[in-house]
Amino acid sequence: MVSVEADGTVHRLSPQTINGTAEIVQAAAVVSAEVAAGNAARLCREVAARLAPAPRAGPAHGQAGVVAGAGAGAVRRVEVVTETYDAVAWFAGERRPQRRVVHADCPVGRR
Amino acid sequence: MRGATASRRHGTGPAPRPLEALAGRLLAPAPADRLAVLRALVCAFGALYLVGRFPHVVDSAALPAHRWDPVGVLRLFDAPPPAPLLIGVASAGPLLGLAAALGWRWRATGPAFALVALVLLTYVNSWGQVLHTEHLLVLHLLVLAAAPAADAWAWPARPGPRPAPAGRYGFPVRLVTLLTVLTYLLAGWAKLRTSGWAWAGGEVLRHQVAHDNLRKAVLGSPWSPVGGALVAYGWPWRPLALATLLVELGAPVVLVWRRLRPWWAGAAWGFHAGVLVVMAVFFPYPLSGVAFASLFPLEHGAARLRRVARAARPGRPR
Repeated sequence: MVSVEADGTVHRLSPQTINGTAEIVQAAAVVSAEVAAGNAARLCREVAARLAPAPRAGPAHGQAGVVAGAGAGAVRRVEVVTETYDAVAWFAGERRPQRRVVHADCPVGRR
Repeated sequence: MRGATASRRHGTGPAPRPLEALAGRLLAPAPADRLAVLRALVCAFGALYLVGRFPHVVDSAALPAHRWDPVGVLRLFDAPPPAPLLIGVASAGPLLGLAAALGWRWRATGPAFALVALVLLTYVNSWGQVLHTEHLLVLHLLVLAAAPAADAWAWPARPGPRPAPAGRYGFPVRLVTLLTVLTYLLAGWAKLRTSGWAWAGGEVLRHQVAHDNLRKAVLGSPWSPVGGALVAYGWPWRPLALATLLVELGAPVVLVWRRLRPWWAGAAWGFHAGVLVVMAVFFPYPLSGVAFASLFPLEHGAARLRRVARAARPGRPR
């Protein structure tokens, strides 16, 4: 899952943000299961709610720490995506996905 | 009994039936110290493990109920248990584990700790993904819980002489070993079941390591640069795959040849260390060595400790 900032910058979300726990395998399994069950939109809304700034928390960067690798920019959208890579080639430097499917796309609003 | 064994060895008596021979091996007497030290090690590890899992239990308690996908003993529960109850049990778990490790009121603390570990680890595995690495610890705790594992090396110490070696002390230790062997054998069998003997060729392992590290990389978790670098080469994977299958499918040798036990335990530990290096996957129970403790004559270490403790007693001539 990824978050998209106002300027189009894309950040990958951490297991903690996606699933609420630090277990990476569990987070990956939850995303796969939700996509397979046709619940990608629901998952998207859940994660967007987790990323949404609290009413009196000020600017969105108050939540930026939970987004792995995210900067201080405001997160505008969350996407549930499947990216297909050649895993061996990825480590040789081929970082572009062979295929990218967006299953759900939802806005990050205020809580 | 010894005479019967001797006559069989010399070919004068009837050969034991396979089941009798198996029962004889499983129920052979063993010192109470061996089982007691195993109890102390496994329960102490279990207590520390539950401390490490506590944050995950707390995080899981806040997950939405629709993610609840119960497995094992929690399969009957349609909804997750209430968070306060769960956090209370998770808080009590390590204390119970400490009491069980000490052998304090073992008949209560042993089964209670095993049950708490079973429920808590089933709970954290009931959210869409089962982590098989936790099964062995719980199985070992359940076996120990049903055994007289605090007849020696318990606090407070039991009055009277130390109990004589008996089958009731040997059987649980051998059952723990048997379970350890079965988990490795099943892991090896699962590889062959999904990929056939092609798994031994190494390409499946190479792609598995690449896939696992890539998944971690894209999800922002620590991944192994060693594994990432190694997947560029084809040649290391065949020997690594063969070594993996040898450790897993070869595990039953420890049931037959006692002398191979340290070698197999070392190889299995090396296998897990290798997995940590190339996949950044940490198997705490085997890597701690406690998972393999039942393979060793633990009473020797206990006797050494006893001698040291006696020598250190104040007022004793040195």
